[in-house]
Amino acid sequence: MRALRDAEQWEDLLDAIDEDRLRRFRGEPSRRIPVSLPFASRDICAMPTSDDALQFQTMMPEIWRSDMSMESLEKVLQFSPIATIAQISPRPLCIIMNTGYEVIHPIEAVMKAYAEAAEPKRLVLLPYDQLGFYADEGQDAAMGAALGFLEDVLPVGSKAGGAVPRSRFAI
Amino acid sequence: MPERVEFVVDGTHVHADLYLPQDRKAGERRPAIVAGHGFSGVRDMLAPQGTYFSNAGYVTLAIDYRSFGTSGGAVRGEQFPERHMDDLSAGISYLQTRDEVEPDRIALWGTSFGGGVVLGAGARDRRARAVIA
Repeated sequence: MRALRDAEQWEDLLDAIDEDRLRRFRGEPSRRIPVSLPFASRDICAMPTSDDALQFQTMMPEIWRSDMSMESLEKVLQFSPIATIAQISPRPLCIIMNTGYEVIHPIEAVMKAYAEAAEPKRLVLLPYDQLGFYADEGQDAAMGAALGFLEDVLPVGSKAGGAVPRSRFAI
Repeated sequence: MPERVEFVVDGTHVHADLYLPQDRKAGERRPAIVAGHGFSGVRDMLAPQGTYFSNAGYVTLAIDYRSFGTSGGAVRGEQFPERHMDDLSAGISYLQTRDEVEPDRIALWGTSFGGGVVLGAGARDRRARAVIA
């Protein structure tokens, strides 16, 4: 969320979240906002986009057309899977990440999460842009990596991966 | 074509598509995957992945989080990660009731924001035997 905005847009978003909290306290519904708008519009939305706006429109028209509640952004900002990622262990984890142009999912945040995760874990880095996993060669590569991992840890026709010693669970 | 299924979480219907491997023999159980969609997405966008995983032998359940797609929820488009994690856990529970599924061999898979959601859900639901983000 932060990486998608300049400093002024970020402060505008935090102000809008504050206003929405008060609005809901008064018993009014959360404000509706567009999921995505061109970066230059400066209006509040979930995902300001710049040169990738056209990609969104063509590849994911459902998202481009949709709106959501302002309360959603409040909840998303509060969400921190990195805080609990270590608890996935001893069950196996695989993160598949693209290394090309990317502003929606900053690779620094993904690498930080991976570093926090405990073994067994696998990181697969693939040379595609942020929407590259949703079509053609990039989608094939990402799905191939996911399937390869599954075939290692939960292979069809085997019982592997089903039982985990009780004492090894973190929670 | 996937089988459309539904289950209830906290009083609200969750709709999902169940992709079954075509080569599964009668009575055979397979490992399974619960698939979560990305930011403001819908399960229909996961049709290629559902087909891919099921062709590889894995039962795959692609869900619409509550308030998205055709799932219930009076207010639409509520991107509430805690609720999404509960929906994924309910997806595991649903798969555990299916005769086609090995109930102790279920994985979570999610794309984009759904990747973050499966990381959170996998951390707190140990029935997820593997997590792919």
